[in-house]
Amino acid sequence: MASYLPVECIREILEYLRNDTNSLYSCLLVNRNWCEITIPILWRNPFGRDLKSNRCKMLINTYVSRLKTEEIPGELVPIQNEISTFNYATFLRVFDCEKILLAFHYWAISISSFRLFIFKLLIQHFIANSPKFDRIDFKKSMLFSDNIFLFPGARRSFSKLRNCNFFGEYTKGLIDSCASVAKDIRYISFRCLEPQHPNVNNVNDDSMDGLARLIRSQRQLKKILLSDGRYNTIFKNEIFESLTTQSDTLTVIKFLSINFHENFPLKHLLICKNLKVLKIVNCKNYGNCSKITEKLQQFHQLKAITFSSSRLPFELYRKLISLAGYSLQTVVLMGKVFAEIPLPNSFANNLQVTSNPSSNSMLEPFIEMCPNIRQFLACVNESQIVYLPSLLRSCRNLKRISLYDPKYQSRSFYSSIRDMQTINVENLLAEIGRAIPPSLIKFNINMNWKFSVEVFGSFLQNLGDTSSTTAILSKDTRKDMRVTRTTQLQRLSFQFCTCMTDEHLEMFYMYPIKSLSILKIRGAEGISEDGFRKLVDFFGDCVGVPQKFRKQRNTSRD
Amino acid sequence: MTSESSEGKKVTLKSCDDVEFKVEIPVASRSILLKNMIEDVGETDQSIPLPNVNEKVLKKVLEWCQHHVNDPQPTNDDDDSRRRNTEIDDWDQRFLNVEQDMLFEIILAANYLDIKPLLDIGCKTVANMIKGKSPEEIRNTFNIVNDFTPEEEEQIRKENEWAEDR
Repeated sequence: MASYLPVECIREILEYLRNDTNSLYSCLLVNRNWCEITIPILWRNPFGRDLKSNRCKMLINTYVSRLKTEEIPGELVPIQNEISTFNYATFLRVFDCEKILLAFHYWAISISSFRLFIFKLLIQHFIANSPKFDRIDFKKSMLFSDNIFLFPGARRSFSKLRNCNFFGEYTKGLIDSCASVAKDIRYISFRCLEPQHPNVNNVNDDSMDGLARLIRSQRQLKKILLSDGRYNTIFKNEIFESLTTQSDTLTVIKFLSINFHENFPLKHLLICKNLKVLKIVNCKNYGNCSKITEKLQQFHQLKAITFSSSRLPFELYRKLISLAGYSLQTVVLMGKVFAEIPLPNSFANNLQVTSNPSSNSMLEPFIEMCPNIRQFLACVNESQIVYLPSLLRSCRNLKRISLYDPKYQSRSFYSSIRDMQTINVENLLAEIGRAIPPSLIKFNINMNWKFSVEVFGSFLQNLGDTSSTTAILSKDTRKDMRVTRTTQLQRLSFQFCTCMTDEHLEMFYMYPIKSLSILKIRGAEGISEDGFRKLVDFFGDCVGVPQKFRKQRNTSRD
Repeated sequence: MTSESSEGKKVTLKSCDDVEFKVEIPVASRSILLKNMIEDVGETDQSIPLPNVNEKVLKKVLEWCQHHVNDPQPTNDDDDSRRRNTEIDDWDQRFLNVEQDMLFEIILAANYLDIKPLLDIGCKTVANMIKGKSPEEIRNTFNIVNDFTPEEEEQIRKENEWAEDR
């Protein structure tokens, strides 16, 4: 093939193997041509390949062989190999401080002195030789305190950085120096130092100024993640101001564990006119957004929001959704979305808090203002389920809906089903089936809903018969819409619903859904082996095995 | 030229062995090379010569273009996000279930005609053939001659030992 396919095609093929270290190792030994194509791929980010200690030693040995002999102290000369065939540092594109340090530690076990000296030489070697780093990941500490952006060659090798991750600053002025070197960064993540770090106050304060400068100096910043390990840092207003200088390009903003100190930057976010994704995770103290009375412009591009343990005041929650409005397509609401507010003083002695009563209206803003939602994933409580039919009716292009019980745990079926409360949806399920739009592909209920056989039958019947809904919606253009749209549902999950019995399953044969390819009923308690066998005969492999049979199978195997 | 306005209109492509194919413009436009040529030249009765592609391969490539005529045009995603998707759909898998020579010819043609999605699935298919093989097995599979001297090979092996799965 070497004489057959041109170099660019072989390179393209080998790029698909870039994470397969062993296959790349084979490729580089095929012949000279393949070797030259493979080496830059294999050595692009060797420290990211999860190497064991002995392999780290071999890797560092190969790099060390290229350090200039006159720079190595006499005591260490014997550790040097003969000079390597390639200067492998020229292929390094990812500068991951943590992993480089770890690999070095494994290597340095065999030397008793000059560790710091060699480490610094090695880092200087990488910076002087790599023509361009794509990504840099900092750790909170290094073996030295020198600023690596001031090392020889840094201006060139870091000038094309695309992805930059800071964990505080291991040395003062680091982020500021980065700002003067790298101006084409697409993604910045910044995490404050933890409280136990000795320099936390000074360093964080300087870092804030540097970070604001770094953001301002970018030409094409697309994504930013701001995160606080200690939950108390004051993110200076300059940082939020600096985001507005990237308004043309910034598309993703994520706030993680931030205390906004009553100063949530809503106005700054709105200036970012191309913002597509907003994630607010585990934050608090947003301030009183009801003070904002002026008319705000919309988020015209905001397609996806994630509010996860966001503890948002309801007014701000509603405002953000209304500002996203028609553009919103993906919604993720997990954990405690709303701030808890204390009960009046008379209850304070009991130290009780209550959930914001407005949280019962969690789904309402979407029903009113966001008709274009395609994916809706939310952790909901019993009181919100009554709004589900309205939500389904308002989002006519919905493709996926997944609802989660507040006790749902993704990694444990047992704990989830043990802790979930049973929710009676007898009066709602048939209506939900009727409201489901024909566009829906996935309907996942990760809650323990309880419903009778008859109601489940009505649900499936209504789900399969969407023609009436289509006619109502299209009364002005009925002529064009006469084609009956059948459900496209591919995945149906009631996997935590314990109420399912053989009689419930009978409803699947009475009202079959042809498009279904996955059916989850893992928690079903009232199903017999015969009933399950019949279901599998009907649906084939697409049915998940209920837990009760998994237990039996395991026991019989034992 | 938009695909809507060009619907029904045809362009003639001529393989290197002088066989002509009349192809609808949206089908031919799956190739960025041809799309640009058609846009530059405008409507013409003259056939477009493709000196690097023979009849057999061109026929096959056009079959792919016809099947994928309504696919969205590839976005300008960087190479990394393109390569993250390693799935090949069923039709494409069957389409590429051909002799090895033909597979390489398709890759070459996709590269020359600038049809990125076809190039991608071709490369993915070959990459899957390489996975898990030893250097000798790769050489045998693709008929490649080892031109390393024993010393060179040993040196490369030693320097890259860290990557060897033992």
